[in-house]
Amino acid sequence: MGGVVAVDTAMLREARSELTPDGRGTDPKVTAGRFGGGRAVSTVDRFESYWGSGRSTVTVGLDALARLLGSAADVFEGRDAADADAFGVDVRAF
Amino acid sequence: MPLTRTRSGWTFVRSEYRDWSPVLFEGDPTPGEQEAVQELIYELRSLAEGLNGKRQRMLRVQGTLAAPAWSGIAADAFRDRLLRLAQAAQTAAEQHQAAADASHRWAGAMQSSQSAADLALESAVEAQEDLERAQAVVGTLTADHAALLGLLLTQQHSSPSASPRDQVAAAEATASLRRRAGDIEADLMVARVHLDDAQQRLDDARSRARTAQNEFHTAEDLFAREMEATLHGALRDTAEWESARFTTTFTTLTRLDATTSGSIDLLGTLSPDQFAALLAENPGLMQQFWDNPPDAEAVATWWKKLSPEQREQWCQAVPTIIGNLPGLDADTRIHANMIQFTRDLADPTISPDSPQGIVLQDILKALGVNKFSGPLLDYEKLAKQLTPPRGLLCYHLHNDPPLAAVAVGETQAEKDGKVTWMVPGMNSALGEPNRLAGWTNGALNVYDEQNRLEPASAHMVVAWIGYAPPDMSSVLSGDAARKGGARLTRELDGQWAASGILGGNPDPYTAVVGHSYGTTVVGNAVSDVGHNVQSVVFLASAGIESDIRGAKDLHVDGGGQHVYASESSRDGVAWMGRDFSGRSDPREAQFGGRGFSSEGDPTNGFAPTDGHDTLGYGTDNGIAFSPHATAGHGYLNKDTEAIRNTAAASLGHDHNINGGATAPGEGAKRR
Repeated sequence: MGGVVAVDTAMLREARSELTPDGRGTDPKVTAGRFGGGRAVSTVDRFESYWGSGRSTVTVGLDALARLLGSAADVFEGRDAADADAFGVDVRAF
Repeated sequence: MPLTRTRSGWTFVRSEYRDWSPVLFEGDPTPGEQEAVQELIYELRSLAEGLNGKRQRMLRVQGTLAAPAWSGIAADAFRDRLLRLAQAAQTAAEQHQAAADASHRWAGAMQSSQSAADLALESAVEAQEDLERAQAVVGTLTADHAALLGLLLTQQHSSPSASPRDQVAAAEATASLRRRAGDIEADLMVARVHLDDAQQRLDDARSRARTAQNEFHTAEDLFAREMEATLHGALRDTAEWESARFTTTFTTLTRLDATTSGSIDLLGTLSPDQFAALLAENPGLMQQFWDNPPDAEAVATWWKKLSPEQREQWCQAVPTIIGNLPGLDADTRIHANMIQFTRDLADPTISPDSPQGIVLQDILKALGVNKFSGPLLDYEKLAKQLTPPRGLLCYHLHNDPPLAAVAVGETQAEKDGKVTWMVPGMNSALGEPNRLAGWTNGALNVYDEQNRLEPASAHMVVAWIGYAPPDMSSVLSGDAARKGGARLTRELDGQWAASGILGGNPDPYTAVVGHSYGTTVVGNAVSDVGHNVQSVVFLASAGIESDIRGAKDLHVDGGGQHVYASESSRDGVAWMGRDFSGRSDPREAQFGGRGFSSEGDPTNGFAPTDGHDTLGYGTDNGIAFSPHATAGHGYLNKDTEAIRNTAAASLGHDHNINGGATAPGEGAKRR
C-alpha cells in the first residue's frame, strides 16, 4: 500500500505544536470556598467532581492526539526515506 | 460592609464572627463569602475560555490536516477522534460558562439576602437596646410609682388626731404625692410606648432576618438546580482516551497507510479478534484492503503457516477481509465469503429492494441455490454439491456498486488445472436483478466447453464483477477500467500465489477473458501483473488503452501467440466503444495478437454470433439504437463458434479453435 497516502509531515508536526502550544501543565481547577450554605458548597463540589475529570479527559485526549501526530510524521518520513532509497536504486538500474 | 478587590472585581466582605441571637439565629442565616463566589465565577470563566481555546485549536488543526495535506485511513481515524474531542471541549466550555452565569446570579442573590439580613440584625440590635432601656425606665417608674402609692396609703391611714395645721400639711403632702404619682404614670405611659415600639422593631427585624434567610434558601436552591443542570455532556471515559488501544489502532493504520508491507504486518501481528475489533472501529479498513491489498505472496506465505483452527478463526472473525484477500486459495475465500453472505442474509437492516438486497438474491441465483428454502440452510455446501460446483469467490456488498464473483467448477484447478477469469463490460454493475446470475451463466457455458475440450483436467471459471462497470454515459472514459484493472491485477497475481505457494502448483495456469469494456479492464490488468498469465481473450473489444502498445506489453507466456481477439461482423456496438474513445482494436495486425472467428460454421454445427451481447435474447436484433444478439447467438451462448473458440483459446488449445487462429500480427480472423 506504499505511496497511496498523501501526507505533509511538516504540517503534521506543525499541527502537533498547535494542539499543545505550551506543553502539558497542571490542569486548573475550581478552588474550594464558602460559596454559600451547605447546599451551595456541595453543589460546587459536585460540579468540580464531575467536570474535573471531563476537563482532564479533554486535556489527556489532546495530548495523546498530539503525540500521535508526531509518531505519524516519524512513520511517514521513514517511508519517504525508504522511497528515496528505492528511487536511488532505480536510477542506477537505468 | 467593607469592599475588597477580587480577581473578578470589587466585592463586599462581611464579618464572619457575629452574634445573630438578636434575630434569634444561632448562626449566620445567610452564610457565604462574596469573595469566594466572585473567585468561583472568575475560575469558571477562565476554564470555559481555556476549553474554548482548545476547541478552536482542534478545529484549526482539523482544517489544516484535511486532505490533501493528509489522506488515508489513519488520517480519517485521527480526524474523527479530533472532532469528537473538539465537540466534547465545546460542550464542556458551554457548561462551564453556564455554571459561571449561575454563580453570577447566585452572587447577586446572596449579596441581596446578606444585606437584608445584616440590616435586620442592625435593626434588631438597636431595637433590643431601646427595648432594654425602655424596660429599665418602665421598671424604675413602676417602682417609683409603687413607692408613691405606698406613701399615699400610709398617709391616708395616719392619726386623725392631728392638729388642723397638720391636717392641712398632710393634705398638701398627699396632693403632692398624687401629682408626682400622676407624673410618673404619665412617664410610665410614655416609657411603655417606647417599650412597645422597641419590641415591635425587634420583632420586625427578626421577621426581616427570617425573610432574608428564606430568600437566601430560595436563591441557593435555584443556584443548585442550575449547577446540577450543567452536569452532563462530559467525556467520562478518560481511560479510553489515554489508553493504548487507540494508539495501537492508529499506529497500525499509519503503518498500513505508509508501507507496502503494513497490511501484511497487520495480519501477522494481530489476532483474529483484535483484527475484528480494529475493523469494527474502522470499517473503511475493508475498502483499504480491497483497493490496496497486501502482497499476495506474503499473504499466501502467512496463511500457509496457520493451523486449520487458526484459519477458521480468521474466517469467522473477519470474513470480509479473508474472503477478498488475493493470495488465499479459492476454498478459503469461498468459505469466508459464505460466512459473511449468510450473516447478510439474516441482516434485517438490508432491505430486499435495496441494491444490497437485490444482490443477495442475485447471488443466490448465481450460486444455483435460490430454489432451496428453509431455515439454517448451508448455502456454501449446497452450491458446492452442484454440478459443476459453485462458490462466492469475491464479495463486497457495501461497495457502490456492490462487487462479487462466482467461481464455477473445481477449485482443485488452482493446484493442477486451469483457471479462467471472465470480465464483463458496460451495464453489468451489480444492484440490478440477474446481473451476476447472467454473467455466471456465461461462465458456466465456458466451463462446459472447456470440459468438453479437456475432460481430464480440472477447470475453474470465475464470473468476476469485481469492478464498477460503466454505463452508456461513462463507457468512453478509461477510469472504471483503470480502477477495475488495478484490482484484477491483484486477483491474478493472487491466484498465482494461491496456486503456487498454497497449492504447490509449479506451473499455475491462468487465462483471462474480457468482453466489450471488460477487454479494456483486462488489457490494463494483464499489462501490470507481476506473474505472466497463459492466455488472454478479447471478445468484441471496446478498445485497449492506447498506452498499451500491443500484445508485447501484455504479460502473457508466449506473447502474442496467446493473445486472441474476435468480434462478430454482425456486432454493431463494439466499434463505437473503440472509435469514440480512441482506444485501439486488438484485432488489428499491429496489435500483435491473433484472431479467431465468431461468425458461425454451420458445417461443423457452430452458430454465429449476431450481436454484441454475451447471451442473446429474443428473435430479432432490436432497433437501430439498441441492437442486441438474438437468443442463442451471443458470444457466450452454447454451441456458438465464439464460445468454442473462446474456450479453446483460453485453454491454449490452438488446434481446437474452429477454423484456426491467425498468426500473431496477422490481425482479425474473418470468415
